[in-house]
Amino acid sequence: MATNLYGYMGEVLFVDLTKKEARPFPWTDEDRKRTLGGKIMAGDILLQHVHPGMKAFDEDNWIVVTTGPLTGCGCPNTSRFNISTVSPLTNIVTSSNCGGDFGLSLKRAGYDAVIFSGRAEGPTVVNITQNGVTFEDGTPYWGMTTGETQEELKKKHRGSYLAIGPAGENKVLYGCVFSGERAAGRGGVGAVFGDKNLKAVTAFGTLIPQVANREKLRQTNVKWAKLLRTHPLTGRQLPKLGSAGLIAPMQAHHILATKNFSAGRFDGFEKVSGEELAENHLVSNGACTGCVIRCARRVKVDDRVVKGPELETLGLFGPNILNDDIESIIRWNWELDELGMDSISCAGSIAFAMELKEKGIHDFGLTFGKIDNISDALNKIAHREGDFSDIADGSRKMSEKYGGKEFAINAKGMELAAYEPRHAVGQGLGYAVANRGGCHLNAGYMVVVEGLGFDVDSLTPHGKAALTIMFQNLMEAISAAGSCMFTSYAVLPGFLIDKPNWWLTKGVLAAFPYVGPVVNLLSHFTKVAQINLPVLPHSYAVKYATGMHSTMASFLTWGARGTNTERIANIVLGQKAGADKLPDRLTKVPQDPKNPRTKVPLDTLEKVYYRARGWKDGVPTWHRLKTLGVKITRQVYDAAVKEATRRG
Amino acid sequence: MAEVTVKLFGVFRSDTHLASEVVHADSVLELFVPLNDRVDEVYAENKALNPALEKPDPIRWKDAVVYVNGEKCKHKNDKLSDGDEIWIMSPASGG
Amino acid sequence: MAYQIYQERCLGCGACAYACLYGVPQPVDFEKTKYAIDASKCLGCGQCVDICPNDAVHPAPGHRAIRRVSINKTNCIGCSLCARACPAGAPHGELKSPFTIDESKCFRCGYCATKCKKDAIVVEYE
Repeated sequence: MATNLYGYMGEVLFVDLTKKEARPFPWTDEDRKRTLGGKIMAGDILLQHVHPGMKAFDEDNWIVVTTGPLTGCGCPNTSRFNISTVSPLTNIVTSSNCGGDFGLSLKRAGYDAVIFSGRAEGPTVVNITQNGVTFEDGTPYWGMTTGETQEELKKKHRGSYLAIGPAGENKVLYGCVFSGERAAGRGGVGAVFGDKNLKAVTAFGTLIPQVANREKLRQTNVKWAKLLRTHPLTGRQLPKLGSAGLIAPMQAHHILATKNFSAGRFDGFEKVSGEELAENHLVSNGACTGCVIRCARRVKVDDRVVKGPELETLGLFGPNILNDDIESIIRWNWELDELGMDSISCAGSIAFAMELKEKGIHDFGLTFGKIDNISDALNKIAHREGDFSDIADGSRKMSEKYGGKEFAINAKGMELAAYEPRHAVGQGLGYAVANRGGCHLNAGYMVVVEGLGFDVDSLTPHGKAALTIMFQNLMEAISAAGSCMFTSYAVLPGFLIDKPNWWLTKGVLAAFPYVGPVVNLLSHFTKVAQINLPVLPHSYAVKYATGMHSTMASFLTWGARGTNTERIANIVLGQKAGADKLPDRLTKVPQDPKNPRTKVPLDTLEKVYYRARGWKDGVPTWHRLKTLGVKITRQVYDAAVKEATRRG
Repeated sequence: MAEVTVKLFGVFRSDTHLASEVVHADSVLELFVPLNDRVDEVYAENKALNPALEKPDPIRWKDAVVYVNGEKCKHKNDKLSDGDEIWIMSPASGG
Repeated sequence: MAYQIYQERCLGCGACAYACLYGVPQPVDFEKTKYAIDASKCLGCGQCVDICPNDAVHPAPGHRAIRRVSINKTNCIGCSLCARACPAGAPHGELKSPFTIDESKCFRCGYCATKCKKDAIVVEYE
């Protein structure tokens, strides 16, 4: 094993699809300590590889599938893996996280990560086991849905799978990759698979990651499981109502995106709520492997029991297109899964198409509130039929062709999630600055602070930048370790959530916006946080699983390093200074015409954010990169920044 | 006493199996009394069919996030009027 | 030679079912709230033990761990049944000659021994 650390398998696989060859990819313990794993490892690998102007469908774009060191080591909720690549939707790096089994199986085959390069001559399936890598003709599977593909693969291959459906095959710019029932949904990673003719990957093995301190890790895992099961968010709301349970609180807080983000409340919200889903449609809970929260919904479509919709799909295919029929959303969710398409970007693009029709600009046949032709539309988008091929390119490209940039609701080309940010300005900041585009989690997920979990003033910009940075850093590292983002919520003190009207809660929440300077100090001088806190079991787990030094400070540092690594990789790829923008509807038009504060004061927020991050207009300074230990040469940096800040 | 509609969401709804109730109360704080009476009634009905059912905790002002006609209620003694719609929510998170 | 799942500790996460190469842990109900092991089906390989996040998997009464699995070259006819059965690909050799078990791959489940028709696989217990 090529490592002195535990937890890792010690090997990274490099697959050349053009030559049909596989070989080891050099990855040292220094690399492991610098990047931890997951999306940070992938970001680092891509940073060393990408060059200015590289595009998603270039043959030398890489697909980097990475796991975390904790995956497979018995930690609860830690079986997730990551796929990163240059995104065809945004032309910058996308990192897409997935709760399927593939990462677990990849490690059991002996690999911490696998990189796919080149382009196969024809449809191909790559099979990875501890006894070698084989290339199989993928033609028999080409055209199959993600579900059918995996069912067929199961007849010949044990273990876990990655599969694309028709959307990825047809390079829908938000085509996604499936592992079991879960999606690596965002950014169009499926389209890159399709471009490389990579229909599917299988992984199987019997190896088990070895850990540094078995007994201490076991104790940590048991405490961690208990923390998750007893916390009000992860132990009650998420299992009972799923992420869908957010619909009602979002409505209350005016952040339920309605009619292509023209409002924050929807009269029919109860009909598409998590409560409605749980009471009248839920067959049982589902879960990713190793999860003790078990928040997934299982529902019926016709006679099949299938995965049910998450919040984003409910919100964006519900209120955001003026639809109050939950059964249709349940069906579309399944169709999107089978076609292999990101429900968020698809819904956002459809909503944009609907507004284009409403404004008399172009008629795709799609109208707000009209639901009888959506299934057909999904199919046409996935197969790029007629002018639905435009919708398959996403809202930014559509607005370049048809106009309507002010209401093409995307940031850096990727459509926003279901949270309307004009009533949660911290989330608005996050959407704009998130590395991969309009992602709510990459954004620091401020909505949990700005009203959903507890209630910090959602319209004030104070403190939001600092909190965004801290959450972003923490969540980045938690993801890199292999854990589900929902484990981050256990960090939030239970009393702030359980006792919203307690005087102490009210006091803490009133003070929250003013903790900015303290939080910034902590984010910057992480050495202060050289401790392990029971609310962050992850840092203990990394210590006991890998043997690496690991504290809360390490996590904040890994997180900051990871964020900056992806950011500078994007600059190298051609992202310009000042790219972190939101459409005018969100920054110039108040959600409530009577309250001018109900819009995102992006300039104010970004000024504070960039100063704290050590970025100039979205471009990291050399000093900050070096302080954080980001691996990049001065030469590459200077050339990229020169291009990014060039006028004209 | 004002006649108001109380709608429950979140864990309050899933724990009590109550979705929407009409109650009579003069203030926000007061509505919790008839509301919890209904919680007990519904529990008794359901328990007859399902003896294993656990008794839900009473819903209390300090644990709840309360909206009156779409506005967040900050003071428990706020007066209610006929036809008011009250939302009682629990905090949530997700992705 | 089996493991068991302590039901009061089981959280239904399914990691054991994922880890088992032989499909032994099964959900106890439709909702998959917990899993259980049928001792008669369990080989006792222990692949499911450390992946459990709540320390719910423990040896069943009478459990003995396998110390080593090897091939008796005298009895082995090189039929390859064991090689085809083994998920790790540990037994190897040329057809019709005695096979060898690669102990670096073998995770000591003893499944091959259940397939061998010539009594050629030696399972040593702790």
